[in-house]
Amino acid sequence: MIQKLTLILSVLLFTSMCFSFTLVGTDSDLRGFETDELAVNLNPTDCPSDIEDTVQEAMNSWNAVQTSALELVIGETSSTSSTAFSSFSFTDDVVITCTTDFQASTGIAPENAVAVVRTRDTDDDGDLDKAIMVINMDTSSTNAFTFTKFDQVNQVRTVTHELGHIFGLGHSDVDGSMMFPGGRGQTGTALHQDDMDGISYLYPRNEFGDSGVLGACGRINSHLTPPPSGGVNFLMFLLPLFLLIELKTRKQFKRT
Amino acid sequence: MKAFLFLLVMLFSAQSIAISSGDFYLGAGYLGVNNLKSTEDDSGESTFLGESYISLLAQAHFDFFSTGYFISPLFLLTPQKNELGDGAGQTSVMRVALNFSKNLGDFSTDSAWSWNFGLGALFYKVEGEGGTVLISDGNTFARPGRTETSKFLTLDLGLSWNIFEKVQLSTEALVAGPFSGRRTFNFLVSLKFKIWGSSLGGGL
Repeated sequence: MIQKLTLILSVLLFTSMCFSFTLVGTDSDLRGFETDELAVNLNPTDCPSDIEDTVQEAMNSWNAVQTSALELVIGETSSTSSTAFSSFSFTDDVVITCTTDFQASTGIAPENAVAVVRTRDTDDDGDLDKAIMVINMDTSSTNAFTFTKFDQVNQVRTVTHELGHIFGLGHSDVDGSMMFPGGRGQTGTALHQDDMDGISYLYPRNEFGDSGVLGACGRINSHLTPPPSGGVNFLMFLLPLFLLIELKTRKQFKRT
Repeated sequence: MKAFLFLLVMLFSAQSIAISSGDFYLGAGYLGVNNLKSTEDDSGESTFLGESYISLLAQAHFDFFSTGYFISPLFLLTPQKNELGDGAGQTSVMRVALNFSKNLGDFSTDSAWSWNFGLGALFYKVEGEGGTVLISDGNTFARPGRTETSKFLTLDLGLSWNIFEKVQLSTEALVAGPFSGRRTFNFLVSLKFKIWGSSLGGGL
């Protein structure tokens, strides 16, 4: 029995992974946006008709990370043009645009990227505060990186990857991670633990913060405002369950 | 050698009941986080096992107003941190839990099985060493340079089996965010040794 248990534990040990996410830019002290709810505006001009669904699906992946407090939401319809990428002059905090002339808008050859992101800490306070994503819709026959030439899974993966850049992650060398540079024909859109570590580092979740169930504890490490707590949900579920079990046990005890 | 003999003595003692008031256990376990949610391969498909840690844990059981239930505080930490190959940082987990436990069978003292439920708090720490790194695509990016800790509640449900009098095998499901889109299934399999406590269920 003990030998079998040791064997099982040994096998499980070797499934351990490591993390190696990075941050955009070269500042190790970089923080993400100074909010836990990041609205991403969208200019649908030149974009595929289902771009909003694709962006939402990509956001859902990041929003499902339990250890992160970040909630990405689709904001308003924007009029920001993709040409704002080069000048970095636009009113939105975060915006997604598409262009049929990728080279003119970004200065990057359309054969080199399916989408590109620029982020900036405009007031140099260590927090990101502006970002723009431009999606390559150049349909010339020589361009293999036209967004719509990818299948739906890889369109979602592309936007998920670029959203990672928008909220502060750099590329990762971990094979299989969403932030690994370049597409590899994956069939799923699940995040790797390395991606989860990255978003959790930039936006750590704290259910014991001011609005949490144990509100007096407060936040210690983070500059971010506390997220809504799931603690009340736990208690609401647990207390009736305990009462039910207790009542049933007492009834059985009386019968005996 | 001494440790081996100690284990043998523990293992081959007479089998007894699951838990009694005043029992104190120390043990080690396998903690799997983000199961069925994250991917561990190139396909991008979610995998059954997520990130895993070997953990050390301590647990005590105290009688709860003679209701047949025990209050069972537990403390767990992962001394073996998961590290980046080139030392860029590490992740680790700490967990404290306050569960109710009960021997299976109504108020009996002859069951080797017990179950538990309750709340736990899980602390997931990401520590970065800072600096920059040249990624394989030729770009240079910053490495994380701070320590950040995510803190959240888990709903715990577990089953334990006293294989021998002083050896307990436990499995626990730790569900985080059960009613939200962030719902995550973590689990803990542990082998615990009774360091002190009763041998036949009569308390200390």
